[in-house]
Amino acid sequence: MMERMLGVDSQVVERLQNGDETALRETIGLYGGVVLGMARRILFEPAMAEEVAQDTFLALWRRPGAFDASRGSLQSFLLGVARNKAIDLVRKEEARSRARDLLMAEVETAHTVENPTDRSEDRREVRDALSQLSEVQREAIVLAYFGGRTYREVAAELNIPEGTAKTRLRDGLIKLKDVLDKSGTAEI
Amino acid sequence: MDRAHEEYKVLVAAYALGAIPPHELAEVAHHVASCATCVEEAKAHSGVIDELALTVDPVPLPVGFADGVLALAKRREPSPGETPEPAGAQVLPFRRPVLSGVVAAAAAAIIGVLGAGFLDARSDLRRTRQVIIALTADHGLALAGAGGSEGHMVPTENGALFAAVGLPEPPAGRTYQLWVLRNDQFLSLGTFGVEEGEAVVRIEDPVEGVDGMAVTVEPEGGSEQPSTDPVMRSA
Ligand SMILES: [Zn+2]
Repeated sequence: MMERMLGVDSQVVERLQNGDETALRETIGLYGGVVLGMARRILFEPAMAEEVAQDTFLALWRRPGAFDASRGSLQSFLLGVARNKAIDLVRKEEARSRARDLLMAEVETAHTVENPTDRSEDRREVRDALSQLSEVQREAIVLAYFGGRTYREVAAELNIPEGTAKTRLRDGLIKLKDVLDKSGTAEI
Repeated sequence: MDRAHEEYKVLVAAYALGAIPPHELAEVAHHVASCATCVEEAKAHSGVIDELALTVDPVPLPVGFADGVLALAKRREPSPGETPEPAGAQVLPFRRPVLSGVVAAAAAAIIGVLGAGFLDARSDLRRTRQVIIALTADHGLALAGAGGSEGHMVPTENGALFAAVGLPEPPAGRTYQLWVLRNDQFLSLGTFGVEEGEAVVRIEDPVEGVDGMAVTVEPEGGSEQPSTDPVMRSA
């Protein structure tokens, strides 16, 4: 299935390189919702999140070659671009970012509420994995990933030494990989 | 290198998360790019981080969203190779083939100023690159390559910073190598890898009096002399 997706993504990019507007519309149709979701997750202001989502697809349109199908899916690429753009904004002006309790609240709800329209097994699986981290690991990762905090800011915000912040991020990611690897094999 | 590794290995996760403060970023990126162990760890983290993105709930797009994007796309069609970012990110004309010590000092001073303000205002690889590009307008060297890839080199107090964007991952067992051309001789400035198509390389030695720069794809570990045609070069 991965290979099929890879082929499809490459085809879309080829069409974008030829200036095919329908390909851009299709890509927006497929990934626009999650791209906007990512921007909304990071930015406090909905209008700004919309701008980030627009910019993300504009960037793809202007330089489709920046996407490399061998490195991951088009969805991952677009989410990464959207996150970078949103975090750029957050870092320019702190007021735009979500406060720690809001960021954490979204994670807590995310893994307890079952969304019936949620068609993505992956999404639930990753949320479950996230919920298996220790609370301090989860907090550090969410602050860095969705909050755009640097490790130094994570340390300051959680009132822990910088060395502790570094290792929490590292241990958290390693644990997450571990849990995801296990759940991956369990399902096959 | 082992001492550097001990110092930086605990930062690889923060690096993969984009959580390194900008003034430390070039150093960390430099180590990770040159350390096989850290590259492997960064790759593993990146895979997990990609998965983390999947926890995001989709949000319904506002009506006319796609039309809006297409309208913007048509309003300003960039020439091939132009990057989407606005100010300071266009491919810069190649200004001066020779970087004098005076120019290097001026650029170092500018970096000092930015370090107090702009760079310290927190950012990521992209912003660091933009700073380098902005500085390149007056003091550095611009490189361009196929597929709209760009490179920019700007002298710093003790060496230089090189940033590249739009480079694909090199083929397995290959690496990018950075060269300067001086008196018709190619001198290696070292090898580097890319992260999300972007790279920031810190060059330890002063880069002065060069006639040009180039990036080639070489076997892992680098070559004595370029063994392939440049994928990116100065004009
Ligand atoms: Zn290392």
